[in-house]
Parts: sequence; C-alpha cells; structure tokens
Amino acid sequence: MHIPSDDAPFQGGTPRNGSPTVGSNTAESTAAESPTGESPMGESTMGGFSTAGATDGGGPGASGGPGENPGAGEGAGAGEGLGAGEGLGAGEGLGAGGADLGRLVATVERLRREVVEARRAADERALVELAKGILVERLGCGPAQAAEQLASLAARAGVSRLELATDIINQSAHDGISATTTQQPQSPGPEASRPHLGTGVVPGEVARPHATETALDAIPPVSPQATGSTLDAVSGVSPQAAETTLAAVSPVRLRAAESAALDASDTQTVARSVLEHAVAPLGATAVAVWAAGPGGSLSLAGYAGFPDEEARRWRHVPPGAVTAAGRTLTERRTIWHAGTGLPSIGRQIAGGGRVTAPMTVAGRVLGVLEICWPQALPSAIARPPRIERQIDALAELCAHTLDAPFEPFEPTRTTRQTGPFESAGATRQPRATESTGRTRPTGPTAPTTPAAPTAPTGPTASAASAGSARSAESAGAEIVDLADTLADPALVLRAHLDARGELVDFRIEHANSLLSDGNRPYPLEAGRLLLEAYPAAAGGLFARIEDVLATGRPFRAERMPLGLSATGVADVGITRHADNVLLVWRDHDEDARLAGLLEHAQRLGRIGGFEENAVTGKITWNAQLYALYGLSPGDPPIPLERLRDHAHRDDEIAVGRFLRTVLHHRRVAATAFRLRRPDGVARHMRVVAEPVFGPDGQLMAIRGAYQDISSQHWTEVALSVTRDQLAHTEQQSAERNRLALQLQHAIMPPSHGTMDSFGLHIAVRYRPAQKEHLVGGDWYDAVALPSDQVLLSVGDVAGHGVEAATGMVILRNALRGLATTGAGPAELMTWLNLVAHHLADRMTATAICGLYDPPTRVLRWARAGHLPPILLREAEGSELPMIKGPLLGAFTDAHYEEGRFQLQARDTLLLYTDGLIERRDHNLRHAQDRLLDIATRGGASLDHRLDDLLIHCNSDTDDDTCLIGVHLR
Amino acid sequence: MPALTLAHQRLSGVMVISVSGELDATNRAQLETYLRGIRPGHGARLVFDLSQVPFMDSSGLHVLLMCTTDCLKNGGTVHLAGVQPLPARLFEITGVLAHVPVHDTLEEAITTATERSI
Repeated sequence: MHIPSDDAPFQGGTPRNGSPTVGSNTAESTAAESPTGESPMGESTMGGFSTAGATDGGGPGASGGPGENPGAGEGAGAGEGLGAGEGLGAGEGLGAGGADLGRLVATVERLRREVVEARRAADERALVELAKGILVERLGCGPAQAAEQLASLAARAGVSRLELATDIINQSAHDGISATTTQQPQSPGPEASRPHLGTGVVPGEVARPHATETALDAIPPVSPQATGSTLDAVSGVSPQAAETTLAAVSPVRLRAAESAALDASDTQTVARSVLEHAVAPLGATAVAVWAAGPGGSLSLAGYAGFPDEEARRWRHVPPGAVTAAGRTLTERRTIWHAGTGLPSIGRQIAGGGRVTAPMTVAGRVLGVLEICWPQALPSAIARPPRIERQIDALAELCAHTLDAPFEPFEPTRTTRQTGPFESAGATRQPRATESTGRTRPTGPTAPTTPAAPTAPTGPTASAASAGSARSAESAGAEIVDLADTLADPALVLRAHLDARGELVDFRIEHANSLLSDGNRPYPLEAGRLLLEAYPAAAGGLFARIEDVLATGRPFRAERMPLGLSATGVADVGITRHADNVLLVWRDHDEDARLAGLLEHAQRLGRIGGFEENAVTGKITWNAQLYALYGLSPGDPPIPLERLRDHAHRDDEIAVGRFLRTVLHHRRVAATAFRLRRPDGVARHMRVVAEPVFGPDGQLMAIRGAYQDISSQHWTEVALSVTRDQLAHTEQQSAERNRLALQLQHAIMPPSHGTMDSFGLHIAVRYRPAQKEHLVGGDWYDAVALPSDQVLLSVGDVAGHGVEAATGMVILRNALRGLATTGAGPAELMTWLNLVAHHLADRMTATAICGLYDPPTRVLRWARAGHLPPILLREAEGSELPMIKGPLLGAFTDAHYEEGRFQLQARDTLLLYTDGLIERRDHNLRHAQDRLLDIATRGGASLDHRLDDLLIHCNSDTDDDTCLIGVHLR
Repeated sequence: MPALTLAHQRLSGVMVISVSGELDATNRAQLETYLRGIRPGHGARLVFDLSQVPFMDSSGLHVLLMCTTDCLKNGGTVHLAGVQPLPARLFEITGVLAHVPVHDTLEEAITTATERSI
C-alpha cells in the first residue's frame, strides 16, 4: 500500500530541496531484497546482544547495541563517505551522459545501495537481537530457541522478523516509543493476539516508507494484507484516514532509530541516524543535537543536514543567548517554532519550521533535539498528537547518547573515554572512521558471550537507572559531607524513576544531623521517598526540585512557605550536584523576628515592660525596663505597689490613684510621674498597667509598661514656653500698638471734635499712621485755662509706638499742667524741654505752644523745633516767623523765644505736624508752599479746609498727622 | 526697608562716620546699633558725613541728637558735614543748627573738629 506523496508533504517520500532520496525503483528493489538479507544476520548475531546483557545487568538494547555493534555508526560513516546526496546528484547530473558515465552511475548506485543495506542490516540486526533477548527472558529458553521462535512467529504472523522484533520490543518496553504506537488516535480496533506474547502490539499507522535511503525502506510496508489476521483491523488505515499533514513514523523506524542511536559511537552519528531513520520520513531535512552545558549554554553535539560551516558557527551557544533550542532548555518543553522564530542553526538555510524538544533523562535535561523542516509546519491544531509524542521519544532517545551513565558500560574501550559531551560533531571525526569494520555490508557480528536473562524493563529505563546507581557512589559522598557541614537542615535527594525512566519521586539519600534530632514534623530519613515522607512537597516544592535537577539552575527563595520547616516559613536553596539535588533551608522564625522588632521599637520608644504574676508573685522585667530604672538586669525588680517609694513626692497622689485603680479596682490605668532613680537621675515616666484575669475571673497577673517621656516632656515644656513667649510677644506687641492708638484716641478723639467758645471755632483732625505699629507721638491740644486764656498746642514725639505715645501723653499733660501756672509760652517750653530731658527716657519732640487771649485776640507763642503755624487772612496764607527754639529733649541749654501776634476776626490759624507735609522727593519748602496753596483755597468752612488739607496734602511718609484749625469769628 | 550704608574711619583724633541712605523710622535702629558698636569713648570727636543722606525724618534726627547728647556728656564734640537740603531744612526748623556745628564740607568739619580739640 502506497500513500501518495502528495497527500503527505512531510513524508520523506516527497523529495524536496535536493534532500537525499532515491527513486522509487531503487526503493522497490531494495525492498524486494530485504527479506533475504535479513535472516542470516539474525541467526548469527543471536548471542551477541546477550553478552552485554549478562555482563552489566542492563537492558539488552543499551548494552548490546553500543557495545558490540558498531554497525549503525559505521554504516552512517560509510554512507557519509560515499555521500548519498552527492551520489544521487552525480547520478542525475551524469545520467544523460555517455555509456561510461552510465556505468559509473550504476557503480555509484550499487555502492550506495550496499552502504544503505549495510546500515539497515546493522540497525535491524540490533532490533532482532533485542527481540530475541526478550524472548529468552520471557520464554526462559536459550538464544537459539528464541531465534527459532522469532522466525516461526514471524512466519505464522506473515510479517518479517524485523516487524515482529519491533512489536516484541514495543510490547516489552512500554517506553515513549511504544506510546507513540499504542496511543495513537486511530487505534486500529481489537488487538490481535500473537502466540506466546500476550497482548499483541498493533503497529501504528503505516507510514509510507517511500523512497528514502534509510535502512527501513528495505522493509516492505506492513499492509493489512501482508500482516493477515493479526493486523486485519489496520484496514481502517487508509490514505483517507492518514490525511494528516504530518504522517507518523512507523514503530519500526523509531525502533531502528533508537537502536542506531544507542548503538552509535557518538552523538554526531546519532544525529545523522535520527535524521535518516526517524525524521526524514516526516519531511525534516536537518537535525541538531545540543548538549546542555553549565549555566544554560548549549554545545552542538551532533548535527545532520546542516553544512559543516554552519555547524562550526554554531558550535557553542553561550548562556543567555536566546535561541530556539535555548528556549526549550529554559522552558523544559517541546516547542514548535513558526517560520520566523528565534535565531538558530541553519536558520538562513532552512528557514522553515522547526521543533525543539528537551532531551531528558532521569529528570535531567541533558540537551535539546532540534529538527528542521524546509517549510512551515502546520499549526498545533493540524498536528497529530502522535507526531509530538514521537518527537519527544526521539529526544529522549538522543538524551541517552549524551547521558554520562553510558560511559561506564565500556570502560575498556579507549575510544569511549572521551565522553559524549566532547564529541561535538563539527569538530570531531566521526568515530566510524576510526573503527575497523568500516564497510561491513551484511556480515554478522560474532557473539562473544552467551546470552543471559535480561531485565524486564525497557532499554532506556534500565540504562538510566544503572547509570544513576553508579554515579551515586562517586558524587554522593561529597554531597553528603557538604550537607553535614551545613548549619541548616539539608536533604540530599536523588531522582527516583519508574520502570519507564520517568521521574516520579526523589529518594532521600541523606538527611543531615539537623534533621535527625527527632523534633521534625516529617520522617525525613535516608532511603525514604520525598513524597512519601513529606507529601506536601507535591504542592510546589517537588516541581522546584524537579526543575533544578532538570536544568541545573539553582533555586533560591526567601521566606517561602515550607512545611518541612519547623516554623512553616523558610529561606530555601536547591542546587544540583551531579545527579544529586541538595535541598537546604533555614527556618524563618517569625516570632523571633517579631520579638527582635519589638525589642528595637521598645528601645527606640524607651519603653520597658513588666509582668507581675499574681499567683506566684514572680516579677518579670525586660531589659529595657531595668535600663529605664537605672538598675542592672540582676537587681530585684521593684513591685508595682512599691512604686510610690520611687516617685517624686509631688506625684504621690497621682501614683496612689493609679495604683488604687489597677490593684484595687483592677482596671487598666495610666499615669505620669517623676521617677527618682537610685542614681539620683529624675525621669519623667508614663506608666500603664492592666490586670490579667484567668478563666474563672481570678487575677492572674498585672502587666504593663513604662515609658520614659523625659525628653518628650522637656521638649513639650520647652515648646510650650516658647509658644507662650511667642504668644506673649505677639500679644504684647499688638497690645502696645493698640495701646498707643487707644492713647491717641483717648486723648485726641479722631472724630471731628470742635470747640466753640471765646469767639473761637476750633476744629481738629488726627490721622494716625496707616500701619498700626507706626502710630506715633503726635498730639494736639486746645483747652481753656483758668486764666481764661486758651492753650493751643501741637507736638510730635520722635519715634513710633508706645514709647512715642507715652512721651506724647507726658508732654501734652505736662504742658497742660504747666500752663495752669500762668507762665508764658517760652517759659512753658523751657520747662517742657526739661521735662522731656529728665522725666522721659531719651526723648526728643517738637512742639508749638500758643496762648490765645480772647479779649485782645493776641497770640503769644513759642516754638520748639516745630513748623510755625500758618495764618490764613483774606485768602492769603503765610507762615508765622521761625522764631528761635530747638526741639525738646535734645539740649539742656535750650532757649525759647516768644512770638507775639495780633490776630483779627475771620483769621484762621493752622497748626500741624510734619506728617502733613513730609515728603522725600521734594524739599520741605516746596511742600509748605503746597500746603499754603491748599489752605488758602476758598473753603466753605474750617472743617472743609481741614478735610481738604488731609486729602490733598500729598505727603508720602506714612506718619501721624495732626491738624488743628482755629478760626476767629 | 531701605537699609543704610554705614562706615566709620578714625583719622587723627577724629572719627568720621559716613551715613548713606534715607534716614527714617524704618532704619533708625540700624544706625543706633551701629553707633553703639563704635563706642566713641570719652572725649571723642565725631564727624558725621551726611552728604549721602538725602532725607531725614524726626526719627533719624532723634538718633543723631541722642548720640550727640551722649558725646557731649563725655566731653566730646559732634560735627555734621555735607548736609543735604531736606535734612538741612529739618535742622533749621528743629533748631539743631544753633546747637550742633554743621559744615558744608567734610574737610571743613574735620579741620574744625581737629582745631577745636587742640
């Protein structure tokens, strides 16, 4: 049965891009030859595989394959040497030439066919031997009988011995490759039973082994017709049913690939084998096998389908470089890459789809298998799951070629000593060329030792377990030593695999002494399985360990919930050491941490705690309380009820009330007091205490805390003093300013006070400074004296504020008092000068003092440094003469001249202070002239005149202004 | 508050105090403090250079006069020099001119102060 290649583009049968293929004629002819070439090989190699099995106790495949049968590797080497692709190319290119060329082509073709045959034979031989080994074990017979049995079974079933061998191995192995055949979606129905073999294994969908040079092409397709009764149900597998874009590889192919891989002398050969046997039929054109190195680096351990130059470029991928394979290494999963994905080997060349699969052995990701297609891959939906399983199985297969445990199986062979990790394909000669039997076409391999019963497990599992068992001895001792030197609990774990080599648990290899003290919640004893001893590990810890084992990346976490920890929270570290995993953790003692936190808080807050056991009488103080009391921690603590003895006398009442509340009324209470310490230091303390009651309501304890509030107290005191002072100053300042104003107002009401008597109309104006603090010492006065004269005065005490106002009051009242003596103005001014000089503190003032005699209308006046009055007469304004007289308070020897002026009816006299005219930008003369101008304007009344003056005299200093107008009727 | 620029200089037997700026209620305290800091001492002969004082109010005059009073009490003298028109008018009105010698130029004031002391 042929599946048309057009329906399965990914099949190897579709030649593309010059991939090595042969014509269908060749394939058919090889197929025809295959049954005959098979049998002698099978007979003769019967004992060969059994030898290794007996020696190592490992699986037959693992031992017999690589050990004694270099066939696949050599075959590959030979194939390479002849260059299948080249040969084909030559054939095609020269085919149109002459007869010589034709002969040459034929020769090349024959040689190529021989190589293919040799390789196929070697691969097949291994499979057949495996199957015979299984039969030996199952049937308890010898190798010869097993071979006989195999042959007769095959004959009865109507299949080739190779087919049957594959079935037997699949049935026996239960590994990933078996899964790809048994779990396929298109299960062909009822399983056919085969003699002596229990449940028969139904071959999967029969892939079309169309026209590749792989060894299995020689095998005729196992069609339902061919397999007869055993496979009649496979009739469901039709071209229609197989209309998937990716056709699966037949189990025979996978087994052959496995056999070749295990047999291969180095990874380079493995890569080639994988490509040729397994994935080329899927349409893949290149394979790379990456070995994982330290820190997540990748080394190209083997490749096929890539140019050597490209392989050299990609020999090493450093850690952190993001590549397709690197991503799989990091994520530990198979990734199907789209056409335009991450950089990787051959990206420019292949450019199509590729898949990277982790190569995992015993839980460790040893490397990555990368398979490339020339064209984009179908989406995940269109991809049959079986393909994915096959890829994974191939990856696992490749992993075994990298896995170190394979080394010890052949310690005597020097070519093996280099180790798989060093055999980077690009830089190393294929081992096949080193071997002797370079071209061993169909020759049987001589058995050296008789067969022995083999383990029931599959080849991969047995190899892995055997390997890890051995490495445990070397690496185990050191890691156990390390674990024992750690100051934290530590476990040494080892992967525990099931029969199929799958990681199912971790064996506790060692638990250090910190875990064997018996106080642990879990029985972490050496020899136990982790999940059995500590089932909760499945909740995440297991995955962490698994990841560390797989990738080698250490894991570290702080404050991670961990049931193993005595406190439930721990700092956890997981590292891989060879095959062992070291799990170490440090218990995170939350209580201790909180206690430390509390202690610091108490120290910073100067808080000391105490508890007095009411039952036992025991008093417990913490260290901070001793420090607060100025006691040493060894001293006897002071009972609460004795607190009064240590408190300041003035605080005894407060302390007594506090004690009574706590001890007698048994309620929580607090108080502040001054503590008299033994060292004489007084501290301001706050104490708070509460009773603690038992279940029956009886007093169990008194507990509480002291806080040293001294610094706080004094800070508060200092603050409050400052605050008071500030407030006082502010208040005082405001009050003083208000006082000055009040004085002014009290003495000189700002209202339009007028006086009409003695034939005089007197009006006054006082305009205080706009800014309150500049309120000064201006005054005016108009009062009738006992002598029936009228005293007129204006004055201006230098300065501002309350001092000036006070001085104003002094001078004004002094002048009033002095004036009652009947003395003349000059004499009054002399006295007033003395008053200013002696009675007031460093005061200077200017003033005008006038005595008006109503009957005579004579004004006698004196001037003390003040501006002379202005006379308005007949719309003319004039200043009275600047008679002699210095300002008050400056000179003790001051002499004042008396002026005398005859006034007339309707005269107006203006007395004023300099606030009215003072300007900085004009000279005073000019300002006075301006004043005269305004004053002489025809004002309707005296009040209007004064208002006009206040409004229009443009003084620019914010000074007090006094204005007094006297109009004679 | 316009600040005063104040400086003083000791010449032979005379201390020259230079005041620069409008001298009024807002900065009288500055001058007071400055003069206290100088502490003229017994018998000091002071010359106030007022050529840079375009304006002076009664507060400023008060400070000058108090300083003068103190100086005279201690047997010293005070001379004013370079008095500008507005302060001069103030001195005239207040009768200061009759009690404190005022000179047109600083040289004259210094010369006079020196002569008087001899």
